[in-house]
Amino acid sequence: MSPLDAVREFVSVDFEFSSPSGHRPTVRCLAAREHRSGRRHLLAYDELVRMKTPPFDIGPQTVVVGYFLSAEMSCFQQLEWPRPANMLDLFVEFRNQLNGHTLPLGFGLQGCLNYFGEPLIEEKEHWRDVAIRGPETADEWQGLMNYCMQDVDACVGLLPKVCAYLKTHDDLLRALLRGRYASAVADMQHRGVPIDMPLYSWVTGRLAEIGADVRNEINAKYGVFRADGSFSMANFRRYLIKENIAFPLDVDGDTPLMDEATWSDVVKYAPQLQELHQYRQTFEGTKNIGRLAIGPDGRNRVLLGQFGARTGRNTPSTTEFAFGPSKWTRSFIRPAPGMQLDYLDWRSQEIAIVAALAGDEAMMDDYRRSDFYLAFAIRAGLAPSDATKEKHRDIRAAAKVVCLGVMFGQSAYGMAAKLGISTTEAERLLRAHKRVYHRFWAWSDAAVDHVSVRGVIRTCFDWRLHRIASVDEAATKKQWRSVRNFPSQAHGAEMLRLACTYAADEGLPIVAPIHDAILIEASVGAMPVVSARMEALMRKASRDVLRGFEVDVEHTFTGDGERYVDEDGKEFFDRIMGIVGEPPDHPAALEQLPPKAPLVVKYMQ
Amino acid sequence: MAKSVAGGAPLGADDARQPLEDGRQVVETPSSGGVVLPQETPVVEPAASLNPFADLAALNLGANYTTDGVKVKRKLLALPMGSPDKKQFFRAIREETDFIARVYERPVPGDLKPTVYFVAPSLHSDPSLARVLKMVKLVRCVYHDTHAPFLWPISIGQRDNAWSRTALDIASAAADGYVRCVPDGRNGYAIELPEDPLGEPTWPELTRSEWFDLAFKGRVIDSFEHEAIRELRGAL
Repeated sequence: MSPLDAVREFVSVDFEFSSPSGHRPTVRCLAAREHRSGRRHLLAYDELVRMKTPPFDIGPQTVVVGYFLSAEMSCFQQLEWPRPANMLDLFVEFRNQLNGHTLPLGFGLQGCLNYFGEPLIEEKEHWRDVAIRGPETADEWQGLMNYCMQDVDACVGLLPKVCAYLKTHDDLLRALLRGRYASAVADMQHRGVPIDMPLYSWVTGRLAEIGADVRNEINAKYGVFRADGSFSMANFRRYLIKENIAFPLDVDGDTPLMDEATWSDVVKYAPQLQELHQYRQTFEGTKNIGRLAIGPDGRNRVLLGQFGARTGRNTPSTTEFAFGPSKWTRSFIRPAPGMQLDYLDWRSQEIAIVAALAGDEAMMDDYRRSDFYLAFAIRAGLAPSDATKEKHRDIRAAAKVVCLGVMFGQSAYGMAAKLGISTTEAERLLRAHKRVYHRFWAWSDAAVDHVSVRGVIRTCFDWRLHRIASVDEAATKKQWRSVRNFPSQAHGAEMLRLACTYAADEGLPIVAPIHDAILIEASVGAMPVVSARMEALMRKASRDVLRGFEVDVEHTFTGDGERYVDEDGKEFFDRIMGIVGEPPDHPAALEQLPPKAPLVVKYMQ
Repeated sequence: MAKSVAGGAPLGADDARQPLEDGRQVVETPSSGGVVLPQETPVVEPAASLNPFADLAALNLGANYTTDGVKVKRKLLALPMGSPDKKQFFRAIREETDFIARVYERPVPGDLKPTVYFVAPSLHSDPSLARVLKMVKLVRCVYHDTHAPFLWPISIGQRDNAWSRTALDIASAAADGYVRCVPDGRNGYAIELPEDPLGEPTWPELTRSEWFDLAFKGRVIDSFEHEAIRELRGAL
């Protein structure tokens, strides 16, 4: 007997809508089918807007089904319909049972149909275009709705196949738990991140003009640019030696690697390179600046890409999401008048997660202290018992590299390269870590054993990663690192989803999820209450994931009229502002928005 | 009338309440173009709540991979030999009979610590070796934190040596409970005891001879042709 048999009714739903970059969706039509009764519903926009509730049951005995359900929930939001009691996202469930595999047509609806040997839906591109511009004739309306119904019927056929891997009622409940996140995502996509539009337009419109000025200013600090503005690798090497920065080199061990991923990693332990990194991101095109997806109301809205990463983390666009591009651009974020922002993040979330999951009392005890890295250094005998962050900066930095590196299986060689120390010394630090946190190591090794034997690793709420046999040595090595890293990242994702779901259920004004943090926006008067409640829900989410172990939550407030500040980007933002000055208080600034291409109607289809 | 179209099978006003070819019936609703009912609507009684938050803790599978039934047995191919780490508590096995061996400490260029060789009894009487051999008591130990086993060779040739004397005392105490062995200058070693008991150790599944074999793996001198002996005699 399938756990699906316990459900009185499934209703597959699909909307067609247009959603230009940064806009809320403009609904065109709805198709839905009740699986057991066979009833179907086909409704155009002018009928939908008159309805206060969906034309089908959304109560506790019914499960609403969709493929990438957050899109459907965004339409619910737009129509101001109440959210369904139960949601099941076939994209998420399909991905979960094959996560780690690479599919010929991906994890979209077409990929899913192809995987199960079902006929693909034809003319998707055409009807997507019609949905974006809006149907113009009766034939187009009928065609679009027929197309919409095809998606629904595809879901009806796929449900038993996709969910065949759910064996028990508890499996089904965990799938419904994952499904509920769609509603929270829709909430966040609906609200969007508030952007200081005059500032954004003013600054991004001038970036092309000020590159040379910024380069000249930061060159006084780095000395890496020649007179003609070109980057001198020889000067950069000299700078690295002068600053004693260990920078990853190419395979010949000669030239520093210049890719974005390497730089993003290096600035974590060599913050003095932040400005140069952000200059490169901004003016040398390693990041696209000025392409945020902003709606006419000045709110940044993107598809948050839930379950987009193998770890189950969100994968919003790095160019269109306000937290995606270079960190200095986060200062374009500004609460709406009369409002405040609170950026709540779980303190050292990944450390707390592995400590609790491994049941490593020493690591949990050190986490509860205010500075985990220093606590580790003291416990391991690397620093005296009265060590402080200020007086033992170097050993704390080394401890941090070790503590974070071990979570994804970094070798002593890699740590040595990061810290600019010998491999022998790095091995000593690694041995110290293994000695004081031996339970963590036994657990982490067991995770690898688990995947070796069972071929899959899963979170506490059953988000899975499958190990794929590969003849590619580099890919295999990377995969094992992913396995080591999976528990911390994937449980972090569970925690975030749970907190967002709780908040959405209570109607808290969540604005965006950012890795291990949640941004909320509330009026100045309401913020103390809202902020405290959000913190309580985040703490509860951590206890629910980690079976009672609580992860601390920290706040960063942005007051009414203030700009959001990311400490890593503050210096560069101030430098930019020093050159371009404050935007003139003129509506013309608003007209300088770069043109935006419309987004595709459906994600990954 | 809304401009909705009733999906793949457009319905006209005349279609209302008319049976379809397959026997199903069409009905109109106030806001939809049409609803198609099946002949029979199966009724499914819900067996249980669909609310995952009703008992979220029951859905939590945990992620303790060390206890999930996957057993991987580690087979030791070597054992470290030397004095205990001063930062770690360790236990020693209480032996019914002491195991005394003669070892040769071969200097390693550029390293303060020599390599310790087990010397077979048949060679002990050779006069050229007698002067360099050292009599040691071999003590089998495990660390508390990591459960890692090691072999501790304690010199017993010089009873007036504070290091040897205190090491033997500590090894004896380690047979009763966890201890830590810390250097104490001219006094030799000092012993540190945990305030609270640390429980019983997890001993490796090794016989005594397996233990010694692993500790001296590749470092057994059983012939005068051994390179360490040849080196000692100036042959290399």
